[in-house]
Amino acid sequence: MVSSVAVLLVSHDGDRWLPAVIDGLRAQQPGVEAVVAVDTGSKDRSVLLLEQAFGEVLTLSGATSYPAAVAAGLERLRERGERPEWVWLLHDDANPAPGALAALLDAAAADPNADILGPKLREWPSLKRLLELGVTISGTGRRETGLERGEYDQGQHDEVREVLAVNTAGMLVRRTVLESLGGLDEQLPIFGNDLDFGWRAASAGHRTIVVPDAVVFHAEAAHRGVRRTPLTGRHTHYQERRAALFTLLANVPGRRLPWLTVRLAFGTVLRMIGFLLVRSLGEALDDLAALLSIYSHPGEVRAARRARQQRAGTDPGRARHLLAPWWVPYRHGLDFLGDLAAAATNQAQDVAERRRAAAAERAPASYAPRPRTDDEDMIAADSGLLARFLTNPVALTVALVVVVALAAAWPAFGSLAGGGLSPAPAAGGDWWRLQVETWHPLGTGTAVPAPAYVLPMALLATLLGGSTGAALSVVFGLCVPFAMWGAWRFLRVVGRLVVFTGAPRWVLVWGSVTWALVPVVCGAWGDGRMGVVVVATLLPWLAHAALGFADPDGVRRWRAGWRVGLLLALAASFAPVLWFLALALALVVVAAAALVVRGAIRDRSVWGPPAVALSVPLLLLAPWWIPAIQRKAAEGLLLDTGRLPAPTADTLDLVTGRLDGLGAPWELGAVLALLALLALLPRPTRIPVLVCWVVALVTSVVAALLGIATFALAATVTDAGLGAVVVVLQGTFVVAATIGAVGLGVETVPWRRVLAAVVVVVAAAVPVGGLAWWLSSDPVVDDGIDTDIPAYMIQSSEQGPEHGILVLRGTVEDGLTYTIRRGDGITTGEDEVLNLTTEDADFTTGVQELVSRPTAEAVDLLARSGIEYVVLPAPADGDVAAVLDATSGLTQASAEERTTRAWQVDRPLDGGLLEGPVSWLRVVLLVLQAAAILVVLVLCAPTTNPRRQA
Amino acid sequence: MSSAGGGRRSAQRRSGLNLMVALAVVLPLASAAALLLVRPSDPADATHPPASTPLTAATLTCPSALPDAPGVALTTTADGVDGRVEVGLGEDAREVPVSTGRVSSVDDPDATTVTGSGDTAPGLVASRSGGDEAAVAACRPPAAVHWFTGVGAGPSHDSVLELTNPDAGTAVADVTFYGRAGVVDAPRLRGVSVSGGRSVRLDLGSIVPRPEELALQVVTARGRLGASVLDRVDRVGSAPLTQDWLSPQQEPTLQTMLLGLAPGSGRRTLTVANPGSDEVRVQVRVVDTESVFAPAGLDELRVPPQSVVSVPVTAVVDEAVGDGALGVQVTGTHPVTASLRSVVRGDVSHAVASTAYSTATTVLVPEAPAQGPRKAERRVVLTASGAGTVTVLAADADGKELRTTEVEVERGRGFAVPVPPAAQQVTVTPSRTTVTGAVLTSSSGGAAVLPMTAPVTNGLVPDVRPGLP
Repeated sequence: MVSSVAVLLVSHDGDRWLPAVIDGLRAQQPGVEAVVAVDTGSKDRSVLLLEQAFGEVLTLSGATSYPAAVAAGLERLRERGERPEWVWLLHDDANPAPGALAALLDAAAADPNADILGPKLREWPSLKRLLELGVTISGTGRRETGLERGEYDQGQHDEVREVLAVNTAGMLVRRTVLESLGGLDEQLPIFGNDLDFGWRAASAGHRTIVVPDAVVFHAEAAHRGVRRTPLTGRHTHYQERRAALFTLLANVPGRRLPWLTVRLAFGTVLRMIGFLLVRSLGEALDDLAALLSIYSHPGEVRAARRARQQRAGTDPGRARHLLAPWWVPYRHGLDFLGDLAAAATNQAQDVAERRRAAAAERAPASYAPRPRTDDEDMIAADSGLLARFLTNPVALTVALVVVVALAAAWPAFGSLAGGGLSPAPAAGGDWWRLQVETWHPLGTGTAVPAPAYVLPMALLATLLGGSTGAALSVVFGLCVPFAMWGAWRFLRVVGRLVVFTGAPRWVLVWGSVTWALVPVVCGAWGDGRMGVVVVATLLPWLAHAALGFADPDGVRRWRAGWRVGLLLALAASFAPVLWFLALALALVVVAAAALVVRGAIRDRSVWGPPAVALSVPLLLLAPWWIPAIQRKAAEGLLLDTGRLPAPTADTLDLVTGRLDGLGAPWELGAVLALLALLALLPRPTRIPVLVCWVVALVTSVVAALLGIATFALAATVTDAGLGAVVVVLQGTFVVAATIGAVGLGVETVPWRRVLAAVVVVVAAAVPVGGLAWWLSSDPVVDDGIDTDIPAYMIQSSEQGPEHGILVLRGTVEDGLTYTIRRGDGITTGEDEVLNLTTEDADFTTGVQELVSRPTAEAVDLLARSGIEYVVLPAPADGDVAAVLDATSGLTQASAEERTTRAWQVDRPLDGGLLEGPVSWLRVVLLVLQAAAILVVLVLCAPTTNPRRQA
Repeated sequence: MSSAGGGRRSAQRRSGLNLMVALAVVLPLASAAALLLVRPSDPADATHPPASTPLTAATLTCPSALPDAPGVALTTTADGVDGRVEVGLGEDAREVPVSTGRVSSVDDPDATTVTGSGDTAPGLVASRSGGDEAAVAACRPPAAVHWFTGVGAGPSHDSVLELTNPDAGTAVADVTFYGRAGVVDAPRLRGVSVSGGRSVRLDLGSIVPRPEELALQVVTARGRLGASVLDRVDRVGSAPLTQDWLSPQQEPTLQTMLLGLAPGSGRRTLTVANPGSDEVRVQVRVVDTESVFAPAGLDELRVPPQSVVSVPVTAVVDEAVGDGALGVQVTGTHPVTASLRSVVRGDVSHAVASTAYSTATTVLVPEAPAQGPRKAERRVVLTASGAGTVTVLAADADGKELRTTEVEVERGRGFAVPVPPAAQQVTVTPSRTTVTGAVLTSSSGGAAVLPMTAPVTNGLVPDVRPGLP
């Protein structure tokens, strides 16, 4: 018996596809007699086409939803007095294959219990790729088809099976079932109504199967946003998500509703973060809007639930086994993270490859494929990872160097203080407080802003569980391996840019180890100069990101600009001089590019990214440098961070890469400089080496300019900070020597090869010597900072900033100096604030009065400034001690050492002077900085190609 | 044709190469040139001398008097001053008038302080003399550290250390003994406490009896203290007890000038103390009116760390004094303290170091008879650091000038300026040079040496500035 089938075709602006759909319909076997064509306000020729094909067309307004159109079509059927057994729903972009209807009816006959049948949906226009074979919904509301994106149909899913729902395009449903379930839910106007219908059908006991023999080609116009209706608007993602949330909330059993509500909210936050990481701000906001829309109208969900429960015979538990498994959302999350990680560490496509590919596109004849070397051959599947590692001498050498570096950095994993590094504060909260407060109770109270590196250190400490000592240990202990990694990546790309075979692995090993040891052999590590150490560690990463400026693709150049900006901001927060150096370099490079390639300057994506890279640090470090200039602490812009006195560098120090009097023997540095000079000899690589020397020249000129500057601070006179310049100069020498080594490898003349061998031996001495020196050295940073103040006073001062200790040093003949110790003393981050604070002349006068002709006012000044004790550490000047002894208002305080003299101020303590006004400028800049960091982080994220599921 | 084209191409290539080669030479040279311009600034000079300020309060501490000589002589060297000072410790203070150029006298047998305030503070000078005993001591301001070299703690040579506290609060002193074999353990002398307005006498012979020559370092641990040492020499059986005050040295110095050798022959002992941690080699030279020379028979001394070496130099110094020697110069490789004790004609006198001064300095000496059996001779013995002029003015107690002498001085020798024994005020004014000097009074009854130290006329306000933590 032939079942009667009525086709319900809903169209909206579908004249692009309708002719094919109509032909497809006509080609069905058995022929289709009853067709109800519904048009929802098309502005094109759809109505005409439908009239020509099927006679009458039911025209509704453009705002009619799909469920309403289906209901109208059913109504029209009832009006016409037709009572078909089956209704076949079709979209205007769903073209059935010739045997589709027949296959569906056959399957219906074979399985009498099946009430809803769906075809295999394939993509139109490719006609080969699978779109859907039944759908289900996951716990987070995601539409699951179980197929890969773009999967070709090779018959791998060709069995009839029960599913939760089928797409309304091509759905064959019993008319009685359709009417008994009340049709599609009008709360879901465009998207998601098929899932909801299927779920309701399954709850009511109806069976939905998918029939792979029936094929329908679907263009997915609405989903792709190709077809815009007044109902979808421009935010298809918002509508889809809202529909999915509604479906979930309306159909789950009641006992799971509370948990689901919480889970959906949390899941939305995670999805938003995921969208931000791939820079899809629109979709992130759509997700949030969908969640808010559903949660702010709970009445709708409640009404929908009530309607479902009232329908007789519904048991939501029946649909349970048809829903997607519980682990599906987590697998999607892992896939997403995997995509991100793969994009971030994508090895095959670096700048050199892209440039070569771009060049190959322009002139295919010049393209020579890079010969594949052993390590990239992935076919060696027989040997395991460990075996390959142990038989690879380069890998073993690198591992050995890392182990030696960690062993030599062992003192860093204890407590660090000494030399240029003050002790770490008690907890990470102290760094946060230092960053956020605008008036510091240090000295006699100061508004000089905390140095810029306090923010990244505070973040690192918070990440490590709030331990500041761990943060310092990580910086000092892991700087060498981290720098080695960065140097390896950078030198590898440089090698490929220079020579298409890339640099030999041993040259990379030499270059990266030598570069990684720069912060150690220059003496900064041993002296605790954290700024120089961090700059040296970040420099190879910065250079690698800066290579992105040479990328042929404009988008990637802009991304390189943001990345360089972020890294430069981070490095400049530790050594502000680096920004000025980068400015000089950028100007020189852009000028050179403008000279060499005429017309390049007109392209904004050539000079734009470097400009961005230079402006981002200005923005991100604004809460530091703007208030610093405002508070007359502008010297900080050109000084190195760390305790004073800072080590200087003269000509020999700069050439050999050492800080004054510190570091490994200067001969090793001289060897490196010599190697950089010799690197100019090999002709094939002369041009890149000249580029390195241009950088070295710019750095030298900047060093010469900085060498002129001397700053008279309150406590001492100091020069501009040259630590970063030393490191950059050493870096250029290493790069030049590496490139020269690459060029040297091409030599064939025998005597030159002998010379090359000698050079190799001499060059190897540099990193080996550096490592040996490091192992045998006794770093000052391990020594700790002695305090000559009695222990009970320190304990008292830790109670609060008003329990200050005034420490007087010196003699009457040579002059006295005073410092004030508050809280747990001067800790990391507070040095720079105090060094740059201008002298409090009133307080100095008061102290001078105190030690020469003390009056009650002088002692009152002490009390008002929050000073509890006055200490003359050993050796104390007897004349000063005698004067202080005779001062009324100071009482004797004991000290462990007899030659240390101490007095207690006999007045009530007052912390009044220690509180100062809130600087709103800094607060505003801090908020701006936080927002800017998030924006820049998002802009820096790597390009991902996430797998999309249909 | 092709060759011309080839020539052009190779010319281009060569010019390209030349540019590369030129850059390869220029860039490193330019970098080196830029780096040569980098010159770090020298480290800042660390010393900031103090500023002078008018003195508004001055205190001098005087040792307790010898029997039968309770007087303290006072004057002021500031111009046009006619005021009052307080003499006495604690509640016993009484006001005594002082005026410029006149010597006031007050009797106080105990250790006492002289306190001037306002006008009378700058230039306050006081001294005590021994009456029949040929002894004189200047009253000095309290200091943080005193060094006394050549003290004794034995039966024949004993010293008494006197600590005077001029203030109201308790003062504490730490006394360190140096002996032949290093620091002498004397726990009773650690943290000697002196109540306010009191003085404490410590007889070293009963506290730390030792036969050798010793040196003392008195450090004021708390408060202010004036210290003085009364040296007693009592050759058991043969000669009567003789006493004289031993003046302190301010700090160890590389070169110490001991001026004031009693004429005659007697027993002379040179004591050198080395408070440092390295061994010191000491050269001793004799200063006379013609030169400074190393005498035969006096070798280089080696003083171990933290020890005292005492050398009998009787023969050498006696002979030198007979030839007109004025003093002894002690030069060490590291700072040392030294003193020379002379027991001549049964009277002890000490030649100790005094500080150099370049402004007018007045000392008060007791009036001595110019005729008669106890006829005395008085001279000012001095050395100068460079060429200049020194004016020696001797005046009596009322300020009447007795004699004025101008002497051209130079480096490298000593000068002796005779002064009338009746003078009670001796003022030495150097010009264009700094001098070190002492007033030597000798008679048949004995000799007394009073080292000259400039009176305090200004207060010092130390330079105070913020420092590095």
